[in-house]
Amino acid sequence: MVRSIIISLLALLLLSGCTDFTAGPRFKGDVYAIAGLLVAGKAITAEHPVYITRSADIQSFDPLDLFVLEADVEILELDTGTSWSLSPMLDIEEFT
Amino acid sequence: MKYSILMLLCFIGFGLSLQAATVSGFVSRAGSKEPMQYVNVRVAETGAGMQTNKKGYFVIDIAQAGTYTLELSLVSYQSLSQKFSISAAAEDVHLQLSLVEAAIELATVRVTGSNYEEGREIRPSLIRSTTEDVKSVVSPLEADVFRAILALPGVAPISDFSSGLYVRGGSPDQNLIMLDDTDVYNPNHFGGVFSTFNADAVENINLIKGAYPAKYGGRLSSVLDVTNRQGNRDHHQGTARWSLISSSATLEGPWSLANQNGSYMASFRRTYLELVKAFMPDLPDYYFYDGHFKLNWDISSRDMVSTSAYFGKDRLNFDFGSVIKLDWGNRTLTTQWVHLFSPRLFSQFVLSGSDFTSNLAQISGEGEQLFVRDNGIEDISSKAMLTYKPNNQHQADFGWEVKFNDTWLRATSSYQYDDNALPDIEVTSLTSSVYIQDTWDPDALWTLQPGLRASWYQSLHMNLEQIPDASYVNLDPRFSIRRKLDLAESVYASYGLYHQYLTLMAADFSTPFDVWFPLDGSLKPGRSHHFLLGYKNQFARDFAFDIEFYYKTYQNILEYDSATDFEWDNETGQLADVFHQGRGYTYGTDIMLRTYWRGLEGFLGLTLGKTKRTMKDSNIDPYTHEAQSYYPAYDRSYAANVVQTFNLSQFTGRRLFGADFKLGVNFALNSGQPTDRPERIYFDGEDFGIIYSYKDRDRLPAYFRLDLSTKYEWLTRWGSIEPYIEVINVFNRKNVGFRNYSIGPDENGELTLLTEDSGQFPILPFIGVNVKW
Repeated sequence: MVRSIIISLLALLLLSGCTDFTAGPRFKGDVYAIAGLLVAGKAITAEHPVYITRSADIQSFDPLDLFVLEADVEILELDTGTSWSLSPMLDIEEFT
Repeated sequence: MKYSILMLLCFIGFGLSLQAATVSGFVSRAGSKEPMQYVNVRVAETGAGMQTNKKGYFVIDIAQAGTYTLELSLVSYQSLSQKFSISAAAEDVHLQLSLVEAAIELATVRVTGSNYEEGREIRPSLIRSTTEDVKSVVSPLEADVFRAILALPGVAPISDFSSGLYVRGGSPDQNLIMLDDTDVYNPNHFGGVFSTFNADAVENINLIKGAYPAKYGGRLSSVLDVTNRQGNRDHHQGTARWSLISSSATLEGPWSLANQNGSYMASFRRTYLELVKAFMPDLPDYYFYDGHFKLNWDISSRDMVSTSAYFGKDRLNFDFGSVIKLDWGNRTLTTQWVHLFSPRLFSQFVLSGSDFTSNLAQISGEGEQLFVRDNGIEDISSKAMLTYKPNNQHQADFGWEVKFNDTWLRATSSYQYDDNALPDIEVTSLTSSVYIQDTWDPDALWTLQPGLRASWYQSLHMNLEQIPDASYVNLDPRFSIRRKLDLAESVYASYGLYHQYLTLMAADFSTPFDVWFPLDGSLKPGRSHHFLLGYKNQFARDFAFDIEFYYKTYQNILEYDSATDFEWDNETGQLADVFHQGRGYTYGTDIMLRTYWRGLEGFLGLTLGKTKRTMKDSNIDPYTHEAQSYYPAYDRSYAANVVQTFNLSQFTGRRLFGADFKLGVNFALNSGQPTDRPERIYFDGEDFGIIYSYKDRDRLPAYFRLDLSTKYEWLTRWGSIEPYIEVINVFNRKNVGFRNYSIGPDENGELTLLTEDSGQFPILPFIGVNVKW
C-alpha cells in the first residue's frame, strides 16, 4: 500500500517534472513606447523630440520600422486643459 | 491550540509517573575521546535503545535487576558489546564508552551497524554529514562544507561563484545557520570558492530541509547546524594543508592542570592571492583569513564547559583610478555548559555573541573618501536545551531562547547627495522563545512527536522616529508521526508552522553585502507551513533509500526592491518602502540512494520540484497591472547528483605502492534557471532599449558538471602525507550563469539582438598536499 502511494506520487511528479516551466509572453501584438527629454522652456521640436516607437518581434526587427509615423499625437496640459497636436516625422539621416 | 498544549502536557505527565533503573553514559571516539553523535545504543535483552545526542550522551531505562548487554554500533566503526549489571530498582549505571574506527582491512572485516538507523526521534528531512563526508566531495581548492551541502538533493546552487543555499524553494535568508548553537549571518567568502567554515575544524553538519522540530525556529526554510570539533583528548595532533593560493593549519590535543583536564582545538587559514598577484596581475587584490577555536573543560562526569570562537575577514580592493575597498566578516563567541541534573535530565545552556559587518569605501586617487557605507548585525543570545527521559516510551525536549539583535546601515558621501536619501538607520529587537516536544512510542511500531514553539518578537529601538514599532506573538505547532514497516523500513509524515522576524536586503543572489534587518511595524513576520511525507528503507546492509515528498506555503515573504538601490528616506522611510511583499509555495520530492559498500561511499540524489512566488508590485502584467506569479531564479524542475568516493585500497584490501588510493566523483545535472528575456525594443533618443518579458519567460541551458579527484595517502610512523589531484568541470562545459542582452551591430553592421553569457567554472585542475601528524 505504502509503496503504491509512493510510486503514484513519484510518477505524478516525474510527469510534471518533464515540463519546462516558463511563463507565457508578457506582451501581445504591437507595443508602443514613448521616450524623450523634456527641457524647461524648450518646445518639442525636431531638435528636442519625443520618440514614439512600436515593436512586435524583437528577434527580427528593422530599426526604421520602429518609428511610428502614422500616429496622431495630442499634448494635453493638465493645469489648463489646453491641448495641441504634433506631427510625427522621421529624420532618416539621423539613423543612417 | 489549547488542545494541542494539553495533549502535550498529558503525554509528558503520563511519563513522569514511571520510574526504573537506568544505564546512561557518553560515547566517544577511541583515540581522540571526542563525543560521537548518532551512535545506536541498544540493550540486547530488552530491545530498548536510542541514539546518542550531540554530546554523545544516552540513557535507557531498565525495568528489572539483572545482567544486561549494551550494544553500540555506527557505520565505519567496530561494534561494541558491554556487559553491565543492575542490582537495585533506582540504580543508575553510568558508562564511558569508546568506539574504534574500522581500519583499512574493512574489505575482510564485517562491520555491523548502520549510518541509516533512525533512532527514537523522528528527524524528517535531516541529512547529517561528518568531516569525512565533506572531504569526500570534490571541491575546487579545498574541502568545502557549503559545496558538500549544495550537492545534496533539495539544495539548489544559484551559481558556481556563490555559496548561497536555496533549500526546497527557500531563499538564503530563510536558512538558520548555526555554528556551535550560535547564529552565523552571511557566512561566505568572496566568489564562493572557499569554504565558509574550515572543514578541518568541523565535527559534523546537520542539514534539516524542512519540518524541523520545535527546538529550532526563527527561519522559514531550513536549518544548518554545524558543530566545531572538540579536539583530541588523548594526544596532540595537527593537520596542515598547502595549495597554490591558500594554507591552513589545525592543532588539537588534551590539556591538564592540577586535577582538571579537557581538550583544545585551534584552526587557522589564510589565502595569499596578493603574493600570487605579483606573477598574475589580473587576479583581484584579495585575501581572507579565518579561524576556529575551541576549549573544553571536563569538570566531572556530570559537568562539561566549552568555549568556542570563530572569526573570518575578507578584504577586496578594486583600483580604477579611485579605489573601492570592501571588507566583511563574521565573529562568534560561544560558551556552553552541559550539566546532568540526573541521568534522565540532560541539559545544555548556551551564552553566545555573534556579529557580521560589511564595509564599503570609495577613495579617490588623492585619498579623499568619496563614499562610505557600513552595515552590520549583532546577536547576543542565551538559550537552554533540556531533555528529560522519564522512561523508554517518552522523551521530552524543552527549553528557551532569548535573542537580542542590533542592526545598522549607514552611508556618507562627498558626492552631491540629499543627506536624507543616504541611509542612516539602526534597529534593535528582542526575540524570546520557549519550546516543548515529546517523542512518544505508544508501541514498537508507532512513534508520535508533538511539539510547540511559542515566540514573542519586540522591536526595541529605532533611531528614526517615523519607523513603526513591531510586536508579534506566535505559536508554532509541530507534529510528526512514524510507522515502522520493518526493522529498517518506515514511513512518516510531518507538519510544522514557522515564523521569521528577520529579513535580508539581498540582490538576485546572495552576496556579503546583503543587509539584515529585524522587522519594523510596517512588515508582518514571514510565515510558512511545511507538510512532509517520507519513506526510508535500508534494503541491504550497505544501501539505503530515502524518498520525501514536501509541500510548503509561504506568506508575508519579502524580496528586496533593487530599484531602491539601498537608498532611504530618513524622514519618512520605513522598511516596507524597500521590499516587495508576497506569498509563494513549493512542492516536490527528494530521492536519495546512499551507499557504503566495500569502499564505495556516497550517494545518488534526485530532486523534482516546483517553486512559485507572487510579489506585490513585481513582475507586473502590463494590461491588468496585477503582479504575476513566477518561478524564481533558484527554481529547479529537476536536479540529479552523484557524489561518490571509491577507496580502491578498501575494495581490494591492498595498498597501491604503499598508499591508499581514492577516486572521487562529483556529477551534477540541474535544469536551467528561470530568467527573463527581451520581448520588445524602444528608442530613447540615443540608444535602443529593451523591454523585458516576465521574470521566468525563459530558462538558461541545463547545468552539467563533472568533477574528479584522486588522492594517495601514505601512512608514516609520525602521521600521513596525502597529495591530491583534482579536476573541476572535466568536460569544460560552458555552463551559463547569467545571460546579458543588448542591441548592437552584427558582423554585417546591422542592428540585431546580441547575447553574452557570463560563465561558471571552466575546467580547473588543482594539485595540493595534506599532511597530518
